[in-house]
Amino acid sequence: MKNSIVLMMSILLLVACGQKKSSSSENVTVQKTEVIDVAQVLDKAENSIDKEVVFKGWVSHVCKHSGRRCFLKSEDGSVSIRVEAGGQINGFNKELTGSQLRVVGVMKVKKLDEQYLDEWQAKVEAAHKHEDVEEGGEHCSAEMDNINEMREWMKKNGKDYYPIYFVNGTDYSILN
Amino acid sequence: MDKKKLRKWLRYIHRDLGYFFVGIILIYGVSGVLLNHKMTAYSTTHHQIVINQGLDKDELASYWKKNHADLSLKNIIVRSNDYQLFVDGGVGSYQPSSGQLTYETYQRNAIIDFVHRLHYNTVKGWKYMADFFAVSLIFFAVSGLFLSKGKKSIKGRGKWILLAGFLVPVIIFYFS
Repeated sequence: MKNSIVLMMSILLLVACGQKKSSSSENVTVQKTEVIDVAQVLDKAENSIDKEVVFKGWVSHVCKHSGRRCFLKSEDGSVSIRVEAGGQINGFNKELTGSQLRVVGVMKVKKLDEQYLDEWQAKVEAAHKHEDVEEGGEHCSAEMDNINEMREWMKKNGKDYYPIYFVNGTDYSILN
Repeated sequence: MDKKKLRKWLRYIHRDLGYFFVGIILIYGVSGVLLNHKMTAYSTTHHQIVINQGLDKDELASYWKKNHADLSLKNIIVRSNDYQLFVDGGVGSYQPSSGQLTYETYQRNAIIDFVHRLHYNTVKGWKYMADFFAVSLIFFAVSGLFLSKGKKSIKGRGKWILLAGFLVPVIIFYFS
């Protein structure tokens, strides 16, 4: 009995010592540093893959289940970028919605090739057949428009993939 | 070590580790039920009102300051058909054509947030405790097989209950 208590206490101490005091998503600072906007960082995205980027944007959405990602909108609202929680960021609280954040992270890209788009289109068309016509029609139409826009972009830019840029965030602070 | 001594030690550790993990089992259990039913830590409050039509950005900001001063308006983005509002802990939209103003804010339930964040492992340092807990659960399962003797032990009716427990997930997975 005594031995098992000693064993448990040792494990507890090990776990406690393994923890570091670091900034959590609640420990935020307000900064007034001049940083580039989401739109500017996306303009340079192709040349920034796997490089650190620092930018600001307005939080339009936070994933409600785990807070593992949020979406930042540009100042003019024309574009938005997904930010994954990593590094010093344990997760994004949903209360951050509506705030302006300064984010530090690494630019990443997911390339959607022709095969991916073909498979996606096939799934959408298959889903359309099984859903209620009125409701499914609207949903499918929006997704198909999305897929078609991607194909048009690929054709226009001479690429065999459509890039989805996102950032693996390592730290953030609240600007507003 | 003879069987009698082994069974005694399994019982001691099973018991004391069991006492230690009651709290954590409750955290994962409660969080598991909530997550299974898609209940997040945030409740959403929707607001929908009709105000004056045709307001420009500044007029909308003035309206907001006068009528919703309790909720800080941080930014307004003018889009093609509406304005997107960024408020403290939420987002909204205003349609100049109809005067429709809608917005939603999010409120955190501290207790559900606490259990969910531990379950999702979005708390720094929790990973090691969660691993220890997972290994302990395996220990509980295996040690539990050998705690009883006689007709109700694993050699008796226990083996049929054990088999049933293995079959349930397999049947549900492959035949549902």
